[in-house]
Order: sequence, then structure tokens, then C-alpha cells
Amino acid sequence: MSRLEKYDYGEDWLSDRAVRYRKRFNVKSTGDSKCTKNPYHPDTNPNGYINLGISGNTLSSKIVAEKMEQITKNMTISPELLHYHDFRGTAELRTEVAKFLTKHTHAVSPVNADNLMVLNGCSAATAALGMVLFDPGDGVIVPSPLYNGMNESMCRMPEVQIIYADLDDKSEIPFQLTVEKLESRFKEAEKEGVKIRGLFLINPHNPTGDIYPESVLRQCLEFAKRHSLHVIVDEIYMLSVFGEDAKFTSVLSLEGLPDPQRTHMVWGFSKDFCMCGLRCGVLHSWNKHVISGLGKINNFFSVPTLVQAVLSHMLQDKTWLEENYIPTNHQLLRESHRILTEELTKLGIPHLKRSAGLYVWVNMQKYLPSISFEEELKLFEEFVENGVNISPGQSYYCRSPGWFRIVFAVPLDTLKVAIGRIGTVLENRKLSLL
Amino acid sequence: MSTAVLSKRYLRFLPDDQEEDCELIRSKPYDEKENPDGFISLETSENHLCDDLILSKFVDSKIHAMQPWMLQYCNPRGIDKLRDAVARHLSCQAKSRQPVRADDITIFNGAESVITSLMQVICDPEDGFLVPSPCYGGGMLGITNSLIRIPQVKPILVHLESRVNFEAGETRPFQLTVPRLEAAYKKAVEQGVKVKGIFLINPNNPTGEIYDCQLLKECLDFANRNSLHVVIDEIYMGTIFHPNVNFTSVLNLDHIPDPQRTHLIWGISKDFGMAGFRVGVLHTLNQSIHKGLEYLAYFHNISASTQNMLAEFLSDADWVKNVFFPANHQRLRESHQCMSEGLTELGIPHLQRSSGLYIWADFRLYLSAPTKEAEVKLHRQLLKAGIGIRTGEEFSCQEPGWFRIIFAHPVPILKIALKRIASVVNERRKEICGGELEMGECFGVAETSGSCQTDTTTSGEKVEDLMATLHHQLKSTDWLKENTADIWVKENPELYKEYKDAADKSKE
Repeated sequence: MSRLEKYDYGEDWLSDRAVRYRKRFNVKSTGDSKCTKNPYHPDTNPNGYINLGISGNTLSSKIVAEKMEQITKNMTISPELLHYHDFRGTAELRTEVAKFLTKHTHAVSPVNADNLMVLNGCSAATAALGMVLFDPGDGVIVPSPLYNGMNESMCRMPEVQIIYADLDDKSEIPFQLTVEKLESRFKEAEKEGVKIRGLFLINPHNPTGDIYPESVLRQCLEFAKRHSLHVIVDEIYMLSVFGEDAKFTSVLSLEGLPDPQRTHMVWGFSKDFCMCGLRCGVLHSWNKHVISGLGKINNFFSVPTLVQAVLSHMLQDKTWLEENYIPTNHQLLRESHRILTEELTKLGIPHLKRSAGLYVWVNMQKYLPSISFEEELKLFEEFVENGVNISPGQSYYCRSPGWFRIVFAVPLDTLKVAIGRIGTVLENRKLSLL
Repeated sequence: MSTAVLSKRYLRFLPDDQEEDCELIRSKPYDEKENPDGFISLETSENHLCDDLILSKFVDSKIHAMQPWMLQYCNPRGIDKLRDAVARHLSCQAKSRQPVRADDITIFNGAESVITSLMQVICDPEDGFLVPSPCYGGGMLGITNSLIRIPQVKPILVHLESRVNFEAGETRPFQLTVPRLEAAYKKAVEQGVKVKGIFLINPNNPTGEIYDCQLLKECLDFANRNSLHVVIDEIYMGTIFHPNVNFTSVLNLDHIPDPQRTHLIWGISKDFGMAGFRVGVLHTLNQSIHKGLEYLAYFHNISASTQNMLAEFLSDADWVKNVFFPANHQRLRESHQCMSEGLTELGIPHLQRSSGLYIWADFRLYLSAPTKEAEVKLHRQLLKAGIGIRTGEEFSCQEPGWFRIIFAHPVPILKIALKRIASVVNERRKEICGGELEMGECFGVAETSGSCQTDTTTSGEKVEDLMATLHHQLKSTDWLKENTADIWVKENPELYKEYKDAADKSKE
């Protein structure tokens, strides 16, 4: 960037790097920020914006909040909680998380607390891993559409190039991941001179809600091994698999991993435990060099000792976890999901029927005068103007225009009002398209 | 698996060599009842004297009870309540000229996160930043780590010396002066480094030095002349434990030459002994930088619940000012006195300062040679004796033999620590002098800013011993104040010329 351009932005003091960091603008942020500034409340602000654009679980958050309050009210804060702790995460929390993950991932062998690191969020964990595994300019191959947060994590501090292997709605199962798509994109990128060193997957998937079958997961890991790629698998929605017959396969449950030293997993409390605001994520790696490399930057991504103590307490209460929270959360998610998808069906809106995640991936193409990203953006703006924020597919690097992600994990009465507003916009559109 | 499969960047993250037997020693920490022979660490700059005061505020569970809104995403710059509380606290503590505004503050998970993020936003890789040394470091934390690891910024160390350059008008060891900054800046520029700023920590870590108002202004003017950013870390602002000591915060200056390039860092880790809460604060008027940081701040957020707790805590300004700080400072004074007197009795010269949680001590005489290796050897001897203190090397100190000793521990622990230091130091003394010596005998003297530390005499008749005695006697009186170098030069111009000619000749 030339000095003159910098000056025009009032950015005389910023480094070139800072200007690069700033350049990523995401269309969905206009909707998100309107909701933050003027949030809907059924009693105090019924005309506010309903946010179905940020993936968070406010449906079951009351149960979690009550549990947190109970823990913190009865907790004696000991002197150790005031001081520096092991920046890998307290031994207590890592031990509890190890036990928790061993159970819920159906791990092949008990998770070792020494292979875990606790950082202030999955985004931070991804960014930290990105710095240890990759150099600036290295490529990481990622199936699109993909949640935009990953781009933020990988493209800022690590300055990695994301190479999207575009999935589209033309395949028999829309946006289905196949390893052939990864291979062909990999070859293309190599020809373009990009050095690809990693593969990133999120499973269960955001924004589609897909759960990768075990066979697909294995094929992807074998693809990675063929090309000596590090694989980061984000399993942040592991416990948000609400479908009764749904089968989720964690990488930790796979016997005979093709390349365990290059297979790294990330999970966090944000989505599964409705606590995006607590900022606590976990990463797992069998690779001792990765763990020791992370040990040199984990002080920048630390979590307050007190928060770690509270989370340890929560995980220790197995009764609350297994008999109260998890089943109740799944039931509530199922119910909300059913209500949204039934409405979508009534409105004749095609959508992916999935059993995981906090959102539904829907196809609004029939409401677009022409299927293009410009029309998709216009429709997005109309939704926002009418008080409901749902995210346009282009903000997830989706190559097929017209798709939207709608979060359903909000209180039921709010969801119903939101559905009403969506319906109103679409009704008006229908009329104008006639 | 070889490390070649990881990034080249990872090579900057290589682990320190930590020998196995040291790990073993550290793994058995001191406990009064369970393990009285256990390892005592006086290495990490933490205040262990005020836990009860802080915890007394959390007895009311309303402060730390989790509320539903805390579970959701919050403002990545920090919740308004905390930024307001910090703004009010800083306005009071720093005696700011204008009330501090919450809008000029961003919260991070610790001061290191502030530094590393700020560096990414104002510097490009390979840019340089002037850092007076010795500078804060220790373990894997420290200013050089925060500059190098993620931002890839080159610390341009401005080495300060224990030797006082009287001719240049210096009066104290390790004194920061603008000529030293200028010389380092010029050299870096000649070497083709793009120097972007200066990092200052005031009160200083590891020396405990407090920069006076005049020096601060001179540093800011120097920075302004060269369009440099100034990052001032005032994280030890609240650890000034002697009353009536003058401290000037950058917020208190009546005129800042370049406010858009002047940035303040603060945190609760040291002033309040709450390093486990992970809160660092950036204050700058430069909104462009705040905006630039928004994209990074998200990766350095802490839980809304912790922010809320801290906001409640700071909001009781009356308790902070009239209960916490007086009690905390009293305890710091007592511990400091215990450690300082103990070191003096052992014949270990040290800087006597009025701030910080540590003492910068001179063990040069106990090294087998004036080398880094000898410093490491002494460090290991101390470790084996069950006492851990950080070497000067960890603070990028050019002169081997200086160590930083944390004193912010209860007096009984300090006394045990001193006994262990004594065992090593006495052993070394025997090895050096080949015989028994009286305790309290002193081979040399370190600069102090106040009264004489020991009533020392030397029994040796070497010239060095006599010089040391003279030096010590000079320091302990007002003779130097009344007989400055300038005055002597005016009164003895011929002698000065002869001295200067001889000095110049010896340099050739």
C-alpha cells in the first residue's frame, strides 16, 4: 500500500501488516453489528433486530447459566487462583477435559492431558496452531462453504493462504465433500505455485450441519498423508449432534490413523456449552514438537485461572452433564430445529436436513430474480431491514449463490417471531417476482 | 518426528534447554509443613503478600457469580463496565491531567498480549524497537519474546551499565539517558534497521528504577524528533512502596509532544497481585491503532465474567486507595527491608530502590570469571541449594553477574532463602579467597540511592580494596552532591585537561 493511500485512511501510524489485517471485510458484519446495537427483546425491545446470524446457543444457555451461578456462588477462591499458572492450562482442567473427551469422542485410547493445551478460544487455538505448523504464504486447503471465522484465525497472525476446494449445490447431495474435489483443487493450486501444507476440516460442519461419515474422514486423512499435510480438525460442535440416530466420528476415535503426528484436533466450550463469552478452547496434538512450540506462545492466549477452575468443576459434575444438560440440550435443539425446518418446508424453501450444529443451511434461490451474489446480498439486506439477521452464503465463501445460514438455537418465542419476519420478506418478494 | 515438518517460524519458538536435574529440583516446591527443604522460587515477579486483602473482596459472592449475559460474545475491546472502571482507576492512580476516557482503552489477556499485538500493528517484520536493557524478561515471558515471537520485531537493546559515567553527568548505575538512546538509534539506522519506536518500563523491571519527569520528557522529545512510537509500560505503577517517592506517569505530563504515537500499558498482575486474572490494558489516544487492534483483540479476549469481577473490584476506589494500597505497600516495605538487609549482611551489593517486587543484585564478585558461563554456573549452584533467582542474562544484561531477586514473599520464606543464598555465597567466598572471612565483609559496593547499606571495612590491603572502601565512603555521604564532576572541572581546568589528554591517549 502506498504511503498516500495509507494517509488517506488516516493510517499513517499503521504497519503494512495492520492494513492487511484490516482489509478483510465480511458482508455479514453489517447485520451482526445492527443486532448488537439494537438487539431484540420480547418485552423491552420488540422492534429490535433478531440475530440468527451468529452461531451461538442461547436456547440452552439458561441451564448452563444456572449451573455456573451455582458453582461460582459456592466456590471459595483460593490464593492459587490469583496467580500465574501453567500456560498449557491448569493440570486440573486438562485432566477433566481429557476424561471428558475420552468419553464423548469415543477415543481409541484414553486422551492424555499432556497432549492438550487450553487457550482462550478455538479461534485462538487455530491461530496458534497455524503459526507453529505453517509459514506465511503457505497454503491450507479447505472445503467451501466454510465458516468465516477460520479465515480470520488463519489469515491474520499465521498469514496463511486459504485454498478453497469449492463444493457446490450441483452435486447429488448438495455441498457433499469428496476427496476427489480435494485432490483436484490441490493439483490446481500446485500448478499455480502455492505450497500447500495443510488441510482444515470442521466436523460437524459449519455452515451446512453435515457430519462427515467415517469413510470420508479416513479418505481425507489419507489424502493428507499422501501429500504430507498437517490436518486440523475443528470438532467444536461435537456435543451439538442432536439427531437421535446421528453418528459422529471424532478423529480421536479412529483406529489406525494414517498420520497421527500430523493430525490435530480443536474443541471448545463456546458452542456445546453455550458459553462463547467465556473464551475457552482446547487443542489436542500427539506431536510433542507442536506442543512444545505452542508452549512458547501460549502465554499470549491464556485463560484466567478462575475460569479454568469453574470449568473443571462443571466437567466434574457427571450427573449434571450426562443426565441433565446434554440430553436436555439435545432435546431443545431438536425441537427448535423441527420448528424452523417445518416452517421452511411450509414456505417451500429447500434446505439441508441435518442433525448437527446450531443452524440450517437453506436455499433461497427461488426468491432471487436472478441467481447471483448481488441478488443474494440484496435479499440479505431486506431481511436485515425487516429485523431479522440471517447470513448470506457469500460470507461463507459459498460458490453457489442464493444459500443462507439460519441459526435456530434461540429461545422458541424469539425463533417464531423471526420466522414470521422471514416469511413476511419472502411473501413480499414472491409478490414482486410475479 | 523431526521438527523439519513444522514451520520455519517454529524455529523461533524452540524450547529452552532445561537440564533434567533442575526440573527435578523445581518439581518439589517449598511447603512450611510438608516440605520445608523444598525449592524456593524467587523468580517470577508476583506479589504473594496481598492474597488475603484481594480475597477479602471476593467473599461477597455477588462479585464472582456468573450471570447469563456473561456467557455470550461481548465487545472485543473489553466490556464497557471494565473499561470505565479502568479509566477511573488510572485517572486517579496516575494523576492524569485529563480524565482518562474508556474509549481510549482496549483490554487484553495480559500485558504481553498488549505488547505483541501493538507491535504487529505498528511494526512490520524486521522493524526495530529500542529497548533499554537490562529489560524485563525471565522464563519465556519478557519484552524480547513479545517482540520477536509473533511480530518478528528486532529488539534494539540499549545496554545500560553498572559503571556510572560521571563525565556524562550520570549519577546512578544502569541509568537511562537520551544520549544512550540516540547512540543506539543511530547505530541501528546505519545498519539499515527501520526503527519504529522505544519501549520503556517505568517503574523499571528489573532494576526498580523510577524515571524522573525530566528524563521522560527528554525521551518523548527524542522520539518525536525521529517520529518514533513510545510504548510506556507502567505496570508497576502501584508497587511504589515508599511514600513520598515521585513518580510521573505519562498521563500526568503537561505536554506530550506526539500523543498519537504515545501508548501506555498497564495491568493488574503486579499492582494487585492478580496475574492469574490475565488482564492487560492499552491506553492510547490513537483511534487508528485501536481500530487496527480490533482484528487482533478478539484473539486475546478474556471471559466477560472475569472482566466483570475486576470492574466491581476496581470500582471500590475508596477501598483500593485507603485500605489495599497502604496495607500492601507496608508489607512490601517490610519484605524489601528484610531482603535488602539480608543481602547486605551477606556482602551482596544491590540497587536499593522504592518500587517493584524485586531487587537487582550484584553477584559479580562471586563469579569464577566475568562470563555468562560463570553466571549460569552460579545460578545452578543456587538452584542446587534450593533457591531460584533469575540471571541477568534473562534480562539481556550485558554484564554477567547481576541477578533479580523477588522479595514479595512473606518474611519467613525470605529468611530461609537468604540462608540458602548465604551457603552458596560463603562457599564461593572461600573458594575465591582460599580461607575464612568474616561475614559482612564487602569486596565492593553498589550504588544506592539513599543511606549507606552497611558499615563495611575491608581487611585486604590491595589497591582494589582501598578503592572500594573509598568508593563506598564517597557514596554514603553528600560529598558527591557537593562535588559534582562539573564543579570539579570548573575549579581545576588544567588538571581536567591533563586527565582528558591521558584518557584520550589510552583509548587509542
